Amino acid sequence: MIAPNPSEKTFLVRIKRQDAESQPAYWQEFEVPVKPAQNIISVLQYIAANPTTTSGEDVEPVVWDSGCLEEVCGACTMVVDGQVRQSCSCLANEQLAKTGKDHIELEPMTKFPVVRDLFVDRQRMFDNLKKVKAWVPIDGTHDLGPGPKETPEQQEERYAYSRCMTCGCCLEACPQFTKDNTFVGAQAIAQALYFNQHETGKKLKGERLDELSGPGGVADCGNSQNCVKVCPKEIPLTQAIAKVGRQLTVHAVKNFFSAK
Amino acid sequence: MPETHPRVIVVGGGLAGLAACVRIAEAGTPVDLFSMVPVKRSHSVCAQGGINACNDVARQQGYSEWQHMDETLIGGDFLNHQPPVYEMAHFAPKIINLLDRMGVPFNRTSEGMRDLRLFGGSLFKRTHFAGASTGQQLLYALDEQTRRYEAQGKVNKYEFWEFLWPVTDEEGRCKGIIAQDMRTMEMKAFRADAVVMASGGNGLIYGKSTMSVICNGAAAARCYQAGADLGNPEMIQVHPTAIPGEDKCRLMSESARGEGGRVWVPRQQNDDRHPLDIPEEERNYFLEEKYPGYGNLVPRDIATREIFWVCQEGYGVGGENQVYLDITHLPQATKNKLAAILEIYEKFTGDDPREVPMKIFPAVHYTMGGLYTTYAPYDPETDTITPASAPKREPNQGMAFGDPKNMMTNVSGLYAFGESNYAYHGATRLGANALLSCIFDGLFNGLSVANHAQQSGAGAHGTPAAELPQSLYDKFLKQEQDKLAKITASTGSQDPYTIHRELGVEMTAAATVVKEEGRMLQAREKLAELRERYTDLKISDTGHYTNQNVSFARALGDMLVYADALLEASLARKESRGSHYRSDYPERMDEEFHNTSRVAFNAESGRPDITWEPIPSPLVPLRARTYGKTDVVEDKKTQEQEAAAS
Amino acid sequence: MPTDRTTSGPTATVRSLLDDNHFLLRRLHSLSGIVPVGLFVISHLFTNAQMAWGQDRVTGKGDFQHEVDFIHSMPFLYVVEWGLWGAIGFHAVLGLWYTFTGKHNVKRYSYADNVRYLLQRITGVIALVFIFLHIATLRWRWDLFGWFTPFYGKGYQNPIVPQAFHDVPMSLPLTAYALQISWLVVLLYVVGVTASVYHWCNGLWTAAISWGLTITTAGMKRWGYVCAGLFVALMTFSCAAIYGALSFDLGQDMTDDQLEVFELIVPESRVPLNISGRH
Ligand SMILES: Cc1cc2nc3c(=O)[nH]c(=O)nc-3n(C[C@H](O)[C@H](O)[C@H](O)COP(=O)(O)OP(=O)(O)OC[C@H]3O[C@@H](n4cnc5c(N)ncnc54)[C@H](O)[C@@H]3O)c2cc1C
Ligand code: SF4
Ligand code: SF4
Ligand code: FES
Repeated sequence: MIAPNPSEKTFLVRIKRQDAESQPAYWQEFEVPVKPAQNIISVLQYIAANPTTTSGEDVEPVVWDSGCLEEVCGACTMVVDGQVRQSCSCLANEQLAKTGKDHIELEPMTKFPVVRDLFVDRQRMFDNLKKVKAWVPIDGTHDLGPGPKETPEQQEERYAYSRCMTCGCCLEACPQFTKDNTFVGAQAIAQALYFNQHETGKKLKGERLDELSGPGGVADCGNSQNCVKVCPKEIPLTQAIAKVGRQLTVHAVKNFFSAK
Repeated sequence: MPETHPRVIVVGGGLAGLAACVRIAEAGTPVDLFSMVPVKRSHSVCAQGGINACNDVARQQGYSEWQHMDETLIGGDFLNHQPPVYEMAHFAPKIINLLDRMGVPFNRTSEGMRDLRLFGGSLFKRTHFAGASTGQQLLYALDEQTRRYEAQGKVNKYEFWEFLWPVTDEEGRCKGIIAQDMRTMEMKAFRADAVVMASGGNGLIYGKSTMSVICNGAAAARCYQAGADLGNPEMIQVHPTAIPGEDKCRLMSESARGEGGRVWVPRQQNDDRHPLDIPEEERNYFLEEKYPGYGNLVPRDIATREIFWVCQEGYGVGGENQVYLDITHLPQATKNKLAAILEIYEKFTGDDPREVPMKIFPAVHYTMGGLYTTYAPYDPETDTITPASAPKREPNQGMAFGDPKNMMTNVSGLYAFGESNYAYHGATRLGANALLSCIFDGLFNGLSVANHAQQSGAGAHGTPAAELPQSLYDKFLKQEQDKLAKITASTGSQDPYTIHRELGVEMTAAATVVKEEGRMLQAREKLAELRERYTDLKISDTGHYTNQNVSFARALGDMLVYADALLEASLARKESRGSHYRSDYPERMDEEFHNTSRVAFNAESGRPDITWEPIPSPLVPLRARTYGKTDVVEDKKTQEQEAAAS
Repeated sequence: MPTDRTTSGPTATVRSLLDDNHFLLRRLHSLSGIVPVGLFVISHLFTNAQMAWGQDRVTGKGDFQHEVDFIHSMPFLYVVEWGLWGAIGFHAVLGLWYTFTGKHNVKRYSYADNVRYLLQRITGVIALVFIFLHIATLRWRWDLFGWFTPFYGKGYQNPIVPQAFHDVPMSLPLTAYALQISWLVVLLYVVGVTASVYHWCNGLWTAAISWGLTITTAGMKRWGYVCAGLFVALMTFSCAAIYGALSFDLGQDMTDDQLEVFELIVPESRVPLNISGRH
């Protein structure tokens, strides 16, 4: 193992670790040599290859989740110095400069069950997509011609929503989304809207709105607008919340007058 | 888990795996889907450029599906089989329509039609795209459809599960898999009447590539060790301009050069001055010097090789494998035009390319080779699909729809789809053809899988998986448990991450852009050494819960095996074809090598056995692949558009 | 795994009642805050602002008294009052419940909007306490530790006031006295009123999003200016009211009749009345 060379410049990384969901969390500190253009993932890779803490203890390598390393898959989301973000697009040097500290603090997301260390289980997000029927109900894969036409403006608006990578930043920062409530959060609301706006996707609009009018639905949003500020894909989440709010208002009035 | 018959397992939730799920579930066969990551995070999200298909506009300008096939064949330097490519090109427009119906936000014209862009390898606009994230959009659309089947109970997802080994019956038919939950480390045998491998590429063998960290090729390597052959494993595509990073190489679009970016290195080795302090005369604009005509716009493969060579000679910036791609001199307007790609560079390097020249280097980008597969060529005699009123195709024009042989490996019941399938791209893949081949595999050949599963239990197809004795599954389960136990208990001295790093460095140096016998023989030695060291692993995490250390160490063993096959096939193919460039054999040699390198794992020696399998050319005769040298002259625009081609 | 929550027992029925009517309750919550409570608060603050104009030295009449008389003369006053109580109670109970289902995180995400979100919850609680104290003392005439004083719009409302004084307007003097008892009361009023006004204006802003009236960021911003304008206007009214109450000189500004009644109702005034030189 290569211990950091004394002449090399180093910085400290404090990591909140947890052996399993049911286990208590604890902190460990590692010393990592400074390299140019080093993102948090390469820092973690260094620690995986050199799992020795600053107190000289050999420990088990830190566990984390990652995929694309290009900020498109959403896997590597974690809390860096108190703020949720993708760790692959977080450069250590910039982060240190930003906080003005000599160390970086890494924590797992707090709104999801921890699998181990920095690795969390975001299954709830995928389940929510199922809840809001986030799909276009096509007839099947047979050759049935092209889909509905749409204007470039409609495409642009839908494209904005379609970029959601289920990373969970919006939920982590949402004061209304907690581990033990049922709020679906901005991500699922925006996805429901995305499909409500598609010509064929609309066929399930009523069912989506029914779901979103129930417990955990859009009315649970407290309008703090954190979601839109932390979303790495700059998805207009508050606009989605408002639009779904409007659709729900109309839906409720319609239901009131036409329900059997 | 309900053990119904028939059942299908799909390993991999990228475009290929998800398309297969949708098609197979639609055919009424329940699917168990395995993926190391939640399928929505599969590597397919990374694709940016687009997806190719003939379309009405191009057709009216003289383009056709036939031509799309022809481009794919010549792009692949005729190492691809023609009937499957024919089928893929002709099926492509239907795929686009289907994706459109699924709600993919394809870019639109003002009339509301799907917009098209020009891409490398064609003079016609045939590439459909959704913003700058086509792969992501396509993957999500298929993910959504899969979720729909999941909600109906027809698809069962096993996410964060790693495929470990295919289960085969006495006669060697694939009847299930062994897989492990990467969180709880629970290992289990799963029964199936057919298994689809859609596990993607193997870039991680090269340490750093443009691929995701999960693209380690281990799944394919395990099938290879279990008896499924590899096809053309030596065919690896390298992208000329990537941003080397500590953790991976990220694609840098070629439009930077298209817009006037200049490639250079300091004349003096290890010059540690700031690039902008190095005066003009001390800079080596090696592309412009060697190719005064085209300068920085030389075709991709030449640029790739030149950059590679200059660094091999020790002139790389800071003595490392990197050269400058300089756009600092360009006018502000041009810089603005390049904003999107410049921001990517800035985000991941922290340097502003408007102020400081970018550092780039070629990087491994795509795995053309993969699991060897078969197909049933189209035969008008047996065709029951074409309506009586329509004319039938000629023989070999495409594949027999639904035939269980389509894209089945040499192991009965084991299929390979997507990037892990060697079938479509021959010696080079055209930009925007990969997404197509992945979805095509799933949608067209999904039916073949369902049919095979349906037939299992009848005649030559053996006993249905649900009725096979548990002992068969227990045997394979034990094999994997023992393997894992052995790794977990290793108390040697070799750190797996170090071995992996050395593997990557060696493979990148010996078997990427320029291959040469001497260097490859050296690499052969190195691989042997690494295999030896691998038996003496040091495992720092001996826990039994979410042990990534052990999972990685296990996959490393498979990567070493795959690397061996890749290197041996590279050595054996003594010619240059497509991406495979041998400096000692710079010509394409059809007599000897218009053959598939079919690589079988020799269980005794633990090494690859290579046989050469001839490739029939029933539709298009072989011809020289020259367009690479002419496309720049003929159509500079094509070059620029190729930029986005990734 | 989807989080399945199965509750049993009596809470289950309450829970399912809440769940089944989730959307309706949420919207009623929003509506109850804006319409009955909100409209009342606006008119109430507007009324109170009249205190700034003082009263007629001779008759004791003034705009404020006029408004109070009008309110007291309203038919079905009790119905209106209980309606308001119902609305406030409903809004408060649900609001508290909602407040405690969230988990604020201003420390980590100190965006202005997030602070606004937290303030909405804090001001809601403050407003609730304040409104309770305000009503309990001035309306229900509870004598809380002698710190607050019973409020009577006119003499007849207090049984100990003799017939002759039944028509004496007492609104302004008693309100003024209520505030002048202690600077703590003034502070309570300043904080309480500010919180209430903030809560209402911000609620109006977020309701527009929840109901889907403002959609775009620009739209939200514009509506934000309107709400901020309302906040300023209501705060101006409130300041006027408080200024009116504080600047009323109990010793000098009351009519003789008012003074008489005042001394009957408040036998031991905590505010020293400087009656020297009264004309
Ligand atoms: C940066 C970049 C840009 C690209 N741009 C384009 C483009 O513009 N156009 C184009 O046509 N192509 C492009 N490509 C190529 C294209 O993206 C890929 O070829 C394609 O996405 C591969 O899809 P796939 O379904 O075969 O595999 P992947 O998407 O790689 O999915 C593999 C799946 O297998 C699973 N898996 C792997 N191993 C195991 C295991 N052991 N156990 C269980 N599951 C396993 C993974 O979890 C994953 O779900 C690009 C590639 C890169 C790297
Ligand atoms: S606006 Fe709503 S969804 Fe977004 S962070 Fe605030 S409470 Fe959560
Ligand atoms: S909406 Fe944005 S923050 Fe939320 S999951 Fe999607 S990409 Fe992440
Ligand atoms: S690893 Fe995919 S977003 Fe960071």
